[in-house]
Amino acid sequence: MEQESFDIASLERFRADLVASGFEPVPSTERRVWRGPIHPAFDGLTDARTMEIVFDPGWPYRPPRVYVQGLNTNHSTLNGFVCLWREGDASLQWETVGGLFDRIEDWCERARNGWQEDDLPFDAYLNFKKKWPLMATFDFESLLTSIGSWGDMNGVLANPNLLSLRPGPATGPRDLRGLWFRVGQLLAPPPRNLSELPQHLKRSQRKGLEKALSRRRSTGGPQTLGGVDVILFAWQRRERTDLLILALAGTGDDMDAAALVAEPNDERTLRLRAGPDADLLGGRRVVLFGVGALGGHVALTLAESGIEHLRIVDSDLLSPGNVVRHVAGHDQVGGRKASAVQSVIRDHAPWTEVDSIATSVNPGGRQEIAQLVEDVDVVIDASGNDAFVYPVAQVAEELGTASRLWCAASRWFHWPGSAEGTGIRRSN
Amino acid sequence: MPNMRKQFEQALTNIEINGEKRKRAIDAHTEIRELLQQDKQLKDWGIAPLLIGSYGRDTGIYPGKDVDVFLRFTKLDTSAEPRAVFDAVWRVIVQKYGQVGQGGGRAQQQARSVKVLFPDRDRASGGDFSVDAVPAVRKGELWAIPTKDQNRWVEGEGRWVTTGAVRFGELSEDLNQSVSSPKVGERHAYKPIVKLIRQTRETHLGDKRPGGLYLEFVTFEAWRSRLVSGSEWDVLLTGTLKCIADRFARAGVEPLQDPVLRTPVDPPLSAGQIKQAADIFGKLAAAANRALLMNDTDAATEWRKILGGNVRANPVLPYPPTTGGRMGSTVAASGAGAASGTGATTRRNEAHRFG
Repeated sequence: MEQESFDIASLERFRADLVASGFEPVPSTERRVWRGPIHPAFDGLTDARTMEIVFDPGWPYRPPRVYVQGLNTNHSTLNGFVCLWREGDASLQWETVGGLFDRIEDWCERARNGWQEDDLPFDAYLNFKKKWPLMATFDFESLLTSIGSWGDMNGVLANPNLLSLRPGPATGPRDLRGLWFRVGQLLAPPPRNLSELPQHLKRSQRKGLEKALSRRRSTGGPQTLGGVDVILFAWQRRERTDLLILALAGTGDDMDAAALVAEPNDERTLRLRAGPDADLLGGRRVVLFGVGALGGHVALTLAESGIEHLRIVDSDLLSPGNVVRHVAGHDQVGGRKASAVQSVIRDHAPWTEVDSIATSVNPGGRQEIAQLVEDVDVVIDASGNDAFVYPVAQVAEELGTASRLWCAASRWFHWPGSAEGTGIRRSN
Repeated sequence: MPNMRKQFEQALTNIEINGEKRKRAIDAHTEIRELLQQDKQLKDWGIAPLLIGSYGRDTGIYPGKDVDVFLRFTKLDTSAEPRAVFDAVWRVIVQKYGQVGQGGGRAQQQARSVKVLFPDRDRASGGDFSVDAVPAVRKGELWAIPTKDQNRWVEGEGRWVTTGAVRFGELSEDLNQSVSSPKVGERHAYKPIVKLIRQTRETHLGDKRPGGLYLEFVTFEAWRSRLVSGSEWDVLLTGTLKCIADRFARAGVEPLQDPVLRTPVDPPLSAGQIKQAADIFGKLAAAANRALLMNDTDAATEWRKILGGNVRANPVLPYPPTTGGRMGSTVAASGAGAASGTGATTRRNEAHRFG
């Protein structure tokens, strides 16, 4: 049965060109695997005489996989897989044998002369022989600032999909025992299995690792077995730090390691995803009146964009019906909307300091309003209460502290200093 | 009229014994030749090995059968004892390669030849194959090989069988290179058409007779008589299929002939085999004729059915590229109907990174 393809014509042409290049289908693979003479560009990178090309269902939108044995470079795995394109590449460069061979030549040239830095961050994980679909989070900041070149860490399985790593020795009986190692530039490609790790370590590090490994007592997955269960290995690559997190299984000769999906969770790293205006918004303060269906999303978006201080004012309770459109979920039902939004923001944007005020504000309370808006850069009204927006706008303008007032829910806005001169206008 | 030249050239690539496998066949022949030429006895008999068969004529199709080698003894004729010649060859070969079944040996005696296995050690050169070396002595301007029945090797008459194999190779080459023989572009067309005919035969007759050599005889006869003309692969193949169908239709009263010996082919075909061949090739010729009037995609669909597939490609003839779309799915393409273009190809000229 021919494998599934979205373009049988180009697949057939490609295979005919493979035949012309000396390739033959490997028996019993239904033309899925082809073997042929190794491309001359690999000369000097391996002693292998042949290479394999493997087709997966989905041609031409999935590139053929190339396997060459004996390579010891980045972007290749122990089983010989040559990483020619990143996941999701849509260039279709591989649609012709000529395109594939061009890419191989490019790859080989870089393997000899050095890779682009952008190509490498995920390489160590992808190239590790065994991988475990478990995410491991860690504090990148504390790793970078830790004293020494290696030390203890501990981890807990926060849920079946997440291992949370922290600096310091394990204390609880269910804590996983970990070791972290930090070295300078690597002289060889990052380790692709456990046995390649020690060659990258200094003597003291190596002895520490050997000692910890020898203390492991029984077999199993990422669970405490004595000695060490998790290894974090970090190295320097020019201006950045790369790392591998390995979960150990088994003991003695049966010991093996699998790379985990490593994701930093420190505030500095997370904030890199806050968007291009994060630095600009970093020192800003905002007050938001009303954190209901609309205001809650406004609050969260502001926080996620990098706002440093957010004051949210709302005395309402969160009801089950609110949850349909609210940023908070059913676990917050019964509490104040302000508290619920504060909790959501803490989860998404830990850099934002939230001042949650869950009391009702009297529209006639000039002094009370003034206290809430006097020290902020932006005042936002999402209360949906037309009678409230006027006194807020007036106080803000009088104080001159708020440069803008947005009345999102009622389609009114205040734009001080506009040509029209009126404090509040209805938006178009 | 469809433009199928590129598709036929890719089909030929898929069916030809090319690249590494052909090189290995030639290397194996060279190795055996050099081995035998070092032996004094064989040298005295004037040994001159020659690659023959479809490998030698370059008319074989993938995956190819045994590589046939004639061990010509230029100083011997049919007065020589087949047993003495055969044993002398076996002695040298078994000394070098060992006997099959004995500690990894690779040589084996056949009825009148010696077979040597050549395993594909790195599995990258088209698989294992064997060289079949048969001794041959002079018989006039032709050559003779031992009869298959070794019990008759002691008789005076019938112990050697005349063969036109060497001469047929020379005639085939002449026909292919002849200035009056059709070409497609710059490529001489006769031998490629023989391969396409052999592929067609393999698809529609498989293990049944007539085999590839008889089809090659018929094709040779038609081309030598200048019954086929044209300058495109599909036209030439259509004309050849028509000639083959006609030839089998009258083969009951006018038996197929060995083109060199001018004698009826031996072993002969039965009446049933002749009728079946006439019917099949008649239908194929009619289908090919229809394909000449179709558009590219429909014609390709027809030719895919005619030529069939092999281990490398099934079918061996690829679909032509379509304008502005993709050529259907595997399911549509593997069915009998023509696949239509679906969807659009989006190419992004982004600077893509290594994975």
